[in-house]
Order: sequence, then structure tokens, then C-alpha cells
Amino acid sequence: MGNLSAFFPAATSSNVLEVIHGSCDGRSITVGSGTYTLENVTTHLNGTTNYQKIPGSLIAYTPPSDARSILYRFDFKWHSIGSSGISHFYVDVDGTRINNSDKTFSENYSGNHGHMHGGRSDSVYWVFDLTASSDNAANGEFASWTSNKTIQAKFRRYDGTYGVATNYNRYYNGSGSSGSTTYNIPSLTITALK
Amino acid sequence: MGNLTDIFPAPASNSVLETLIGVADGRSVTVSSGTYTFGNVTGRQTLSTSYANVTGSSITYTPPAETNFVSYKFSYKSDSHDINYGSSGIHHLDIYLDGTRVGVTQKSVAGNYSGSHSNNHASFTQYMEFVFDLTASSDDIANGKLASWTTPKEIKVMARDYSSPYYRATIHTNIWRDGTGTSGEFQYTHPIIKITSFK
Repeated sequence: MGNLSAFFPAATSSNVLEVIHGSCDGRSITVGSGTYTLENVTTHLNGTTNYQKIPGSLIAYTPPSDARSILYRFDFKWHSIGSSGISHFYVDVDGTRINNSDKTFSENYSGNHGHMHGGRSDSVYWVFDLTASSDNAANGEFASWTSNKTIQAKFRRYDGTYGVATNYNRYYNGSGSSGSTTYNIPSLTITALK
Repeated sequence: MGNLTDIFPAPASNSVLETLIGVADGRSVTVSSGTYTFGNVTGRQTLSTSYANVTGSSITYTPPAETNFVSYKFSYKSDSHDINYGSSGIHHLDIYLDGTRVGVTQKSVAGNYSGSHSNNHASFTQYMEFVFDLTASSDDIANGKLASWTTPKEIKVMARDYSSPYYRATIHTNIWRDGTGTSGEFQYTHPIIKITSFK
């Protein structure tokens, strides 16, 4: 007869409660807190001078009850559609901008606004603190998080000259992109920790 | 009557012992191995031609006892803007463990050179990442291998510019926001550290 622990081993001490990680192609992922369907990205999105959601970045999430922090990370590709491509990005939770998640991305200016070669993989992220004494969404701090909150990444171009498209391939296979090669599918990761 | 395993299901197998994640805004995070306080980034960092600690990259960590691998990932923002001529913003980085350079982590980062040193718009996320191997027979920190890691060790990133006055970088920098220049707290962004210990 074997040891009881062989049948009922001690639980691991990992503080990782759950991880949602997937390409944003419409797939559904089931974890302990529920089933989440990622957005289905099928095209790129040109930036405007107003903030827009980056397609693929949105998730309505309720963490496990014992979660103390949540990492939100959205990895995507951008490519210039105007000069060096200067554009602005941030993480939004339930309609509130997390100020310290602000980022500006661009490539170098070539001296000619028509040179739009800059394209990179990049990411926006925030680690939500669920141990705060009161809610402060602008700082990503919450005293409790027991129902769905919508998290998304937003972006805009600097002005009419400088800007990017998100999830965008300008070039592919030695030529300009077209059809299904014009877009790149981003990925979304949520990690809940206790 | 149900099966005993319905009442006491075996736990899932998991090689992740703990994950420590935080924004470098001075917060403290408690995991099974202890409480860790992250650095507090309160501004841009201008590099020079001598290696300096990258602000927000340092954490002093002791992994759980059964750990075989420790993954360290530091995500920061690189920017080629400088008060003079950042140009393409070439800079060099290394991870250090307890003061010893982990040579295999060396990395150079830059934007595209535009033909003019003052066209310094390049600005993007970068990463310094390494997985330390704790299963070695003896310590070889330059290659990221350790025979044991049972006491606190500082992990950090050090960086320098390629040269001066051209090809310089600033770290954690946002030059622009919402279609105009930045000021005050919006001139910088916070990096994050993620440590994962695996058995």
C-alpha cells in the first residue's frame, strides 16, 4: 500500500491563482473565475486624434475572491501611418484612465514625413493593487473587485502628421501588405495573484 | 455515497512556486517567500557613458526552497530623446546579480538612425529578461548559473549610452502626451518587474 500523500499530495504553494493568456482571435478561455472570450481581431485600426480602444485589448474580468494583484498586459504591433508615428497609449479600467500607465511610442523621424517605416512590437500594462484601503481607479488601486470590470488599452495619434495604426503590418513578403497580411493578431494576458 | 476523490481532489500539478509582480512605484508585495518592496521611479533617467543602475530595476529576492529556476523580467521604456543629440538612442544594458554582471544578458537597444542626430523620436517598450538556473553544481554567475540561492540577492539592470554627445537615451521617458509635450508627472512612466520561481 502506498503513502496517503501519493494519493493526496500537498497543494503547491504557488500564489498564481489563474492566468488568462491568448491570441485575440475570438477564442474562449475557461479559468477558475469563469469563461472569457477574447476579441476577434481581423483588421488593423488607424489612429485618430481622439482616443480609441486598441482592438483585442478589451476584457471584462472578475478575479478570484482571494486575488491581491492582477497583471494586465496587452502585447501588440504598431506601424507608422504618419512620419515617425508618435502616438499615445494608456490602460483604462471601467472608463478611468490609469495615469501612470501612459506611454508614447514612435520611431525616429527621418526628416521626411512620408517615410513611415517604423513598426514595432510593443506592450501596455498595469499591475492592479487589490489591497488598497479605498478605490482609486486612476492609480489602479482597489479595496475590492468582486464584479466585472472592463479593462482595455486606448490610443491616439499625436496630430495629423504623426501617427500609427495598431495591429498593423505595412509591409509583408517584400511588398506592401494587403488583405489578411495587413494585420497582426495581438495577445492579452491576465494574471491573478494572491 | 460519492468517491473520496470527489471530496478531496488531488491538486493540479504546477511548476510555478510563486510569481512576484509589481510596478516600480514603491509598493510592497507579499508572496510566500517574503515581502518585497519595489523601487519608486519618480522621474526620467538620463544615461551617461558610464554604467549606472536603471531606476526601478532593482529587487532583492530570495526564492522558495524548492526553486530550480528564477525568471526575472524588467519591462521599461526607452527613448532616444536627450537634451542634446539623442540621435538613434543607442544604449547598452546588462543584468547584475549581487553585483556580478551576468554577461549573457548583454543587450544593445536603439531606434533607426534618421540621418540627423536631432531627429530623436524613437520611443518604445524594451525588456531585460533572464532565467537563472539554480541546478548548477557550482556558481557561475556570469552565465546565470548557481548551485544554490538561499539568501537575499539583488537583481538589477545597469545601462550606459553608446557615446556622447550623440547616440544617447533616456529611460522611462514620455516626451509627448495627448498631442503635445509632457510636463510634471506625465514626463515619465513606471517600469514593472516580474519574477517567477519554478521548481
